[in-house]
Amino acid sequence: MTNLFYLLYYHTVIEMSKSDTNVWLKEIVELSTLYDFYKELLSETSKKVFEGYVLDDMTLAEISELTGISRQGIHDSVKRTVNRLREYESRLRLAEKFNCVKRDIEKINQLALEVKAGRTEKADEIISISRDIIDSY
Amino acid sequence: MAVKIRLRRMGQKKAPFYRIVVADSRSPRDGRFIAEVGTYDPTVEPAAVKVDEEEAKKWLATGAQPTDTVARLFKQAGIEK
Repeated sequence: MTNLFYLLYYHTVIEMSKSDTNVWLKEIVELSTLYDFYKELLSETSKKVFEGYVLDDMTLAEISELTGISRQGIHDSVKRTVNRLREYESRLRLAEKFNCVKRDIEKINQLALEVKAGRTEKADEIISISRDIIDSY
Repeated sequence: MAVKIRLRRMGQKKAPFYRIVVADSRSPRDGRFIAEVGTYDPTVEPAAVKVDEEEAKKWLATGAQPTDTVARLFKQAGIEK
């Protein structure tokens, strides 16, 4: 019974997310960003399989043919990698922090342009945002 | 050998950007592809889909198979088979 449930659950997660293309389009962005941060913690095989599935938009069957790993094996590997990436992120939050800093830097850029255009009082905002960045690290 | 239209990750690290490319179904991950028919930029809000309609239709007409993801983007861009 538990096994059956497990199997059903198992099949829904990835297959469903890819078949609901709207969700999937959002998910590949999240997953590829996490992958950029944590890929060096993965094995070569996991990387190859994940890249095929997420970065190159291949099907399980295509990756299976390419690597010689069974379709089920590919499926398991992708699922394991996804879980791992999310686990790393929930512990280290590198992607989240990076996105915050990126937003702040864009703001600073914008403000710098205003300072350049003569609104020198904007420099104070730059100083305050810079302090925030350092404090939050 | 089948020809497919798929999404392929490009762009710099940590700034995902995708191309919609026509590639051999067995083409390994070496960046080789036959043609580019569009782009998908998820970093802007809302995500920007650009498709070269003429090219896309030409490839679809010759039997190139879009993946589900690409089919979705084509639909968003107003391209039907």
